[in-house]
Amino acid sequence: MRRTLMTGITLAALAAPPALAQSLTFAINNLGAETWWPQDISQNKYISSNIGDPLIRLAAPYSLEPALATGWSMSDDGLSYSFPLRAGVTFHDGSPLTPDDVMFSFAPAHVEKVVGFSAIKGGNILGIEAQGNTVVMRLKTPVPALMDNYISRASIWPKAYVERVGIEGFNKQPVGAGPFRFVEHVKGQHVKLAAWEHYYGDQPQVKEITFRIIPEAATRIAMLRTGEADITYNEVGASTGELKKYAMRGQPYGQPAQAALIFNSLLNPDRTPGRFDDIRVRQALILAVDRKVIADAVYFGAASPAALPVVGTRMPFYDAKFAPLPYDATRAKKLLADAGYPQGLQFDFVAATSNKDLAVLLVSFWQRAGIKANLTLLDPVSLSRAWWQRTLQGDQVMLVGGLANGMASAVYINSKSQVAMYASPATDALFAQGMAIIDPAKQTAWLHDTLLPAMNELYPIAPVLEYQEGVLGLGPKVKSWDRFDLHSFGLQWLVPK
Amino acid sequence: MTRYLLARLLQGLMTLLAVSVVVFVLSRLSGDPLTLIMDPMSTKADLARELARLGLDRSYPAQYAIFLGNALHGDFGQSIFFKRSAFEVFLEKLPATLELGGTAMAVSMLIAIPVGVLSAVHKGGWFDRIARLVALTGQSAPVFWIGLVLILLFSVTLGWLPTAGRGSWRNLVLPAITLGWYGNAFLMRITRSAMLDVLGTDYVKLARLEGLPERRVIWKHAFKNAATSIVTTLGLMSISLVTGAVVTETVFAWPGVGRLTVDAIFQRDFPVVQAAVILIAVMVVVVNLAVDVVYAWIDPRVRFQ
Amino acid sequence: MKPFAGMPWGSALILLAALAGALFAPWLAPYDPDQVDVLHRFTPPFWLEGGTMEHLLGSDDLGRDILSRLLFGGRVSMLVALVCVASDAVLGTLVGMLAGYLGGWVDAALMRLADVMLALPYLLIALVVVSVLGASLVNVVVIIVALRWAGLARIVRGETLGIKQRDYVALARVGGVGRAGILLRHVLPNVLNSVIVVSTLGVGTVILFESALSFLGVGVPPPTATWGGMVADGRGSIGSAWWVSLFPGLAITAVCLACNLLGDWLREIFDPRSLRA
Repeated sequence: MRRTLMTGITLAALAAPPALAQSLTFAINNLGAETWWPQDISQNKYISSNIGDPLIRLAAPYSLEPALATGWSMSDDGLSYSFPLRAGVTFHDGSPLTPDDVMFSFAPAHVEKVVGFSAIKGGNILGIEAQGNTVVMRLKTPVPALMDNYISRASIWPKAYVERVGIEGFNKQPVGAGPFRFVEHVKGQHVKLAAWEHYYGDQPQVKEITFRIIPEAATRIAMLRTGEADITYNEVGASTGELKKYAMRGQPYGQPAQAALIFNSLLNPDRTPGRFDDIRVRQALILAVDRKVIADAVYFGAASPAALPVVGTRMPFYDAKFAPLPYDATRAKKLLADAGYPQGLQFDFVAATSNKDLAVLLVSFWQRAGIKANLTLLDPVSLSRAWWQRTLQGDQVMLVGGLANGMASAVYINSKSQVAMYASPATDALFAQGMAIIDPAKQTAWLHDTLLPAMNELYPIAPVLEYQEGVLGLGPKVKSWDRFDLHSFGLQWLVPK
Repeated sequence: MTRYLLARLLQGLMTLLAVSVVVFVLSRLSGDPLTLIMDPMSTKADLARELARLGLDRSYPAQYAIFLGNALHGDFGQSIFFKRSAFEVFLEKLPATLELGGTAMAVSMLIAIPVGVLSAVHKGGWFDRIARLVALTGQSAPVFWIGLVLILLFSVTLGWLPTAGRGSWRNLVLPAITLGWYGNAFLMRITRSAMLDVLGTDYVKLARLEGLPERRVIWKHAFKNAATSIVTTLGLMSISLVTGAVVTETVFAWPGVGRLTVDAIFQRDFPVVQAAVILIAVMVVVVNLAVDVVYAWIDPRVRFQ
Repeated sequence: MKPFAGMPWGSALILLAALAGALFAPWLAPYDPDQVDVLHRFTPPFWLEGGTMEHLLGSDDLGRDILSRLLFGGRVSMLVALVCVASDAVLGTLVGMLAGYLGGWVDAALMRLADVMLALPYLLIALVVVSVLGASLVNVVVIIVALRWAGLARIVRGETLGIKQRDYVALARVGGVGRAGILLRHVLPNVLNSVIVVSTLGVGTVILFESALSFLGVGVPPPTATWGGMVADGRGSIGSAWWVSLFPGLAITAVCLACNLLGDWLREIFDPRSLRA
């Protein structure tokens, strides 16, 4: 891994000097809290993570690459991790990267306040110390997928700088060791980043990138057409099609995600028996829908039918024998009849306003199969609340979004987590079994050998479509952008024309 | 006069108190912000801890008492989302809204006042009909649709103006037209009927009999007299341009208070929602008071009511 | 004076046509307005290349027939507008008359309530309320009614104050007519002109308000079609499939313009002075 990376740098240095004359504009929908201190960030990590690199990078699901650390090793009990730091890395203020900075960034006092990070909170980091140029982190209890979920999400910040300017000063001028340095931030309007000339990794190809905050999708597309924006963020769906109409490229990026039907009556482990306990009913809801048509026509090929929860079909260790259920309305009707609903089924269906088109299409396909769904739309937060805090009474079906990126997504079958999609003693036992495996290779084997068959057997939720988190619209000034970092945009791989 | 204005001031304060109760209750009913700020993987214990940290675990009356006590000192609490003073966040976005609202008002005045005056003078004529039709169209189509059509026309097709954002005066043109066109129907109606009133008075008839040129009669004599009701209307309009800018701000990515509040509502950022709604209500009350003062000053009868 | 002098006939015709379209939508519409046909999405109107006579005004992003949705959507949009305006008229008139006629603490209480409603930024409050109650046809109507009655109540109160001083009201009171009788027989007929004018002008406002709610994602929820919702849904493809948002947009504009012009005309013939400023 390390060698490949170094070859890459040498090649870049030998080739003609990179064309750094370009400055590009990226129209995004939202900049979240508009602050840069990691404790405050919940939505703009995609940008802030370009300023501050992590120790280990998550380039694709289950594909970790060295970043500020040249690698990592884990003790057999999964309680001790060591990260040898890369030599010669400098932060944007010119100071060198030292173990102190890493220890500072993961100091328990900081970690406790960061939004998210629940598994390494609550005193689970027992200590973090330097051994020469290597940083060693010791945990109280093992955290499966620590690299994928936590280490790769945490940027390293310069200790001396933060201590000098304070959090307020850092929010005005964040400094990291990432491929781009912070230039300016005009609140509510734009953020400007410039390529960091002394970046240790692949050299940025674009000299300057301006992120402009444009909440309305139609306005973003208009800007792509006028050339005011070179890249746009788009939700998966209608605007993807609009991109194609203007011969703009749509580039999916982000974690593998799923839209899935979950069942309110199945969210509680000690539940009373209900209609959706029957796997045939849950399967019928999927069999009745031509998901291929929906994916191609409405999502313009940016989505495909999903098969099982937790593990997406495009994951490297997915098992092809668990293919997505086909479109088979006859079988759907038969399953319903077998389950005791020969006259069809009627239920309340709850979806988020952001998923309106998909919800309407599902209702329409179900109608053809004799299934009547009374659709209610909630704003996304209300839907999350209904799901996470179990505020609905009854056996509603909910259309929700979730990730399907392997071990990290196993949380959806853990009845103790708020995002549980299905709760039962059997799935809890399964979750506990998976979480006890620390070795990453054994984990993937468990996902493949144990979890997938179990999910196929149980079909606890009904996954509808799978896609990546978003689609980037690329204008004519972008030559290509096909490599990403799952926790940042990976702007160093954006190639201008 | 003083007594009258004091009574109005007291009423204004009562209004604000009621507004604070309404917005407090509504925002609490809409659920808590945790689903957005918490890691999906967090457990129920994490949730309870975070609720306690935000003070959201107390009873509603207790929360309201704390909120009101602080608000009286100008402290609307920390924005849950921005982690800064909600008041500060609101004030930061206010200049953009005032800039857009002020320009939109200028656009409205530029269209509505001349059109109102001329259509009163040429009442029933072709100018009256067409001008009113154009003026009213701005208040007859969805604002976001007008905005997007203007973008397609002037930015995408003709390439004359930037699409969105705040910056030079050129960025201001399309949103100001969109918002101002919406506001002008109201102003035009008032101008037109005030002018019709004045044109029918003996005062204007006398001026005409004196043989003054028609243009002078209209603008110098009649319009001057109609101006008082137009000016008070502008006061009321200024408020509707601030509160009505939500959609325009969204379409044109204008970083103002309307968009801020919409985002805060969807994120359940109570402190910001409360600060925004109450401060907008303060503006309404202040403008209404100012209008009352102007009325009392113009019309002596009001003073002794 | 001729009763129809200067009447905007064009506006009246537009409103009649829209009402007829809404009323007879089930017979006029070629399709079920909610019928999805994902294989025939974004069909252009028949006169454009690629258009067919099967979808005269084209189809939308889910392949639904725009003409059918326009007819059925008009039904909902105008029903919402009429119900809201009528409810506001009743509520506003009642509150205004009671406040103006009874005076005292009733007046003070009702008018302070009206002050509060008028001081609330209505679109933002509507957003908060919908996020509490969820978006539904009934909720949208209730919110619009609750936020709009106060303006009319103030106008009616002002007029009632004036009418109260008139001789015929004093005479009726001396003659032993009860409060209800005076309000119904003497006050109501005299405030009705203003109520009609304000209500006519209000129809357009309500339709636009509903479309703004749809734009912000909290309007009347699908599958129910409304004009405002159609424009809001069509805006994503406004550059390439302009017909999806253009036709409902034009329908809104035509109906709102017609109501505005008609309201202005009514105002002129009734000439209620209280609406001057």
